[in-house]
Amino acid sequence: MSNLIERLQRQDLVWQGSGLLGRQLHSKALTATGYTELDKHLQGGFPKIGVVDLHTELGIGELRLLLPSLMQQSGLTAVINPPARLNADALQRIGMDTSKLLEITPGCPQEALWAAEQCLKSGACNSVLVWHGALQVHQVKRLQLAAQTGESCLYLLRREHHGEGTLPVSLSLGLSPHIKGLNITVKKRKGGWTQSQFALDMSLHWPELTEQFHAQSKEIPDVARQYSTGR
Amino acid sequence: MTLWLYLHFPAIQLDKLKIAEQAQKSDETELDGIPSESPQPCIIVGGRDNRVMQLDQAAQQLGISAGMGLAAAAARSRNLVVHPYDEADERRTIREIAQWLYLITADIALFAPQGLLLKVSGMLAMYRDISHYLSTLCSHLDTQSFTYRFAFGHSPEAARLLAKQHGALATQDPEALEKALHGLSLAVLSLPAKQLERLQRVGFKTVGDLFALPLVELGKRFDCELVQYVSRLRGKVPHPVTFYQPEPEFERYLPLFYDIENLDWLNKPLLKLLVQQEQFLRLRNRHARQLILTLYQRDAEPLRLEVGRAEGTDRADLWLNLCNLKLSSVSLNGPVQAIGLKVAQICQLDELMDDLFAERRGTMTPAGLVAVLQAKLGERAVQGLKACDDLRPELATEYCMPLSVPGTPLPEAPVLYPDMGYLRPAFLLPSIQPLQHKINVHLGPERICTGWWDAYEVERDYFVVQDSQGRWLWVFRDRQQRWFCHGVFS
Repeated sequence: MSNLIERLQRQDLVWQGSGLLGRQLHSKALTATGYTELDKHLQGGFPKIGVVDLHTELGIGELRLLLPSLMQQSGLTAVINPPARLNADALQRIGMDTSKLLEITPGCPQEALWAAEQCLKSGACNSVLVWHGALQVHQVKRLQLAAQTGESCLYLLRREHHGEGTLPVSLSLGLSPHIKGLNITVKKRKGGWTQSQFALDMSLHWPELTEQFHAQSKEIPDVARQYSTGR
Repeated sequence: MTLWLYLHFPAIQLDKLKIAEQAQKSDETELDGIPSESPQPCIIVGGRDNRVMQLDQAAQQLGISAGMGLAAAAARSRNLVVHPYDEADERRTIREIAQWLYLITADIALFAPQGLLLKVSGMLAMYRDISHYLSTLCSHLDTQSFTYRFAFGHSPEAARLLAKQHGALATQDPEALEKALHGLSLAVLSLPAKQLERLQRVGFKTVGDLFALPLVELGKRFDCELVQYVSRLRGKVPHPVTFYQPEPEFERYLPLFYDIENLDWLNKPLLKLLVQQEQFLRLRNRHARQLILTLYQRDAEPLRLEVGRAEGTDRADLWLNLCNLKLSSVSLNGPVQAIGLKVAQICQLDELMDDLFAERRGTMTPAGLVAVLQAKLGERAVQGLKACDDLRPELATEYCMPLSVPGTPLPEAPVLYPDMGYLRPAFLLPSIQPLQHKINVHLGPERICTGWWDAYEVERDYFVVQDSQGRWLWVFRDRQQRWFCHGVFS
């Protein structure tokens, strides 16, 4: 029986619903970042499945870069080993469903990686954010495999570690502060050549958190820029 | 007339020991390939004067018999294994046997510690005839490898006596049963010794002699207790029995054969209990949500571990996985002598509607994932978030059990980005830190002055600032003009 099916399959005479869906998924396995400029540079957005390495300092807008794409997702978002407590109030204000967030604070880096792997391969999480230090090639490979099993994406947020060599990640970005938002260096992109550096204008989304906005508003009289408390 | 079947288990404790020995031996031969040596004679002694109660074949060959004193028995052989009688354990076991039989027969009465009474008449509607019923019952019971005797009878007491005296009385023919009953000697009846003596003096020797006399005559000569007993025995008066009800809860206790110090070795006995639990739950069409695993340690308090799983399951392998994760973070105070397992929360099963065509991604549901994470990292390390109505920033977020909050109703119009003016950082520092470096103030002040009602009053002026490295911080100045950092706009 199974022999027969196998033969038919080889001749391409059996239509499989699951296979078709898989192919469809594969073709559009990118999530829009929510920033048109960034989408253009990444040719579609962040990968839906894989590992994204972000070299960043804390507090320059790295989470703001990810939030628009995280907000589109239907599954869980795991936040592992965050540098401080997540503020549900702020996240809900910008329209994020905070009930889909899992905040995981493991005791040691090994446990953090274990938790990341579990979340990735579970299929219940769409994306996993991990704050972590230096990583080894085999660790990243393992996470990459887990991400493929669960069709999820891992965002690694960490300082730049020199002398680490190239890691087998799908996408590697370097972030630094810029007057209009963020300065982004595309260090590596799977299946692409672009080694580009550009400034991402975030003033459309978070005008108050760009220097440019404040520089301009300084010219306006004092009364107008008086801060109004929450409405 | 109702037909009864009585099962008598003469040596439950001994059988259990033999089963355990067998299991251990098969393990050993698996490991080393050493053929097992001949079995040691084994006896169970009990009572006030330590009489032999149960004995195996090897002991029998030595010439030991039931009712012999311990000293006499011990004199027969040097390597005699002696165990004290444990009635509580037999009672527990007979319940387990009843539970096992409940799968194929309905009315079971417990005659603890060694007997079970089954009402056959009711079950004949389900089974073709008595021989079919009996063969089903025997093959079902043989899987447990206990020795037993059985007999039919038209009254519970008659069945009991026949089962105890005869090995296997498979006939249900009333005359044959009657004949067998008549042949029994009076000494086997459960009557007080004084009564028996009086009967013997009158010249009664067998049950048949007793039955030959009409009840009225018997009543004239002896007291009414005897009359009642005889009429119960003959099935003229109903014998009160309470039927076994399966337990609503699953709770098991498993003594280990040797002390375990390495928690990895707990796997096998634990799996045994979990498989029993799986059967228990499957028969009731239920799932377990929380287990309590108790490790009984020598010279230390028992260790209670709660293993939870938000999405219930009955599968032993999934539970074993969770238990192992839980055990990996446990340290023992002493060697484990026994383990106990209890299902603390039982739930209905929830059916998952899966997309037929969607490719199966991953291996777990959200609740399953949370259970695994919490079992390994502890419950405090895996948390969900909830926004609260409080103006004090540190109280505006509350931690909760993950997935316990219903999804936040998102605003109808996709207001993706915050209104001007209400700006809150995505990260709040776990504790407020004094501000120690130079900053560049961009926005502010925003005064938050509230909380006078619950002794946690704040009066703060918040500013959005940027430090020299370009990081966006949320700082405040309190009434004493001290500066603190409270959050990071990440």
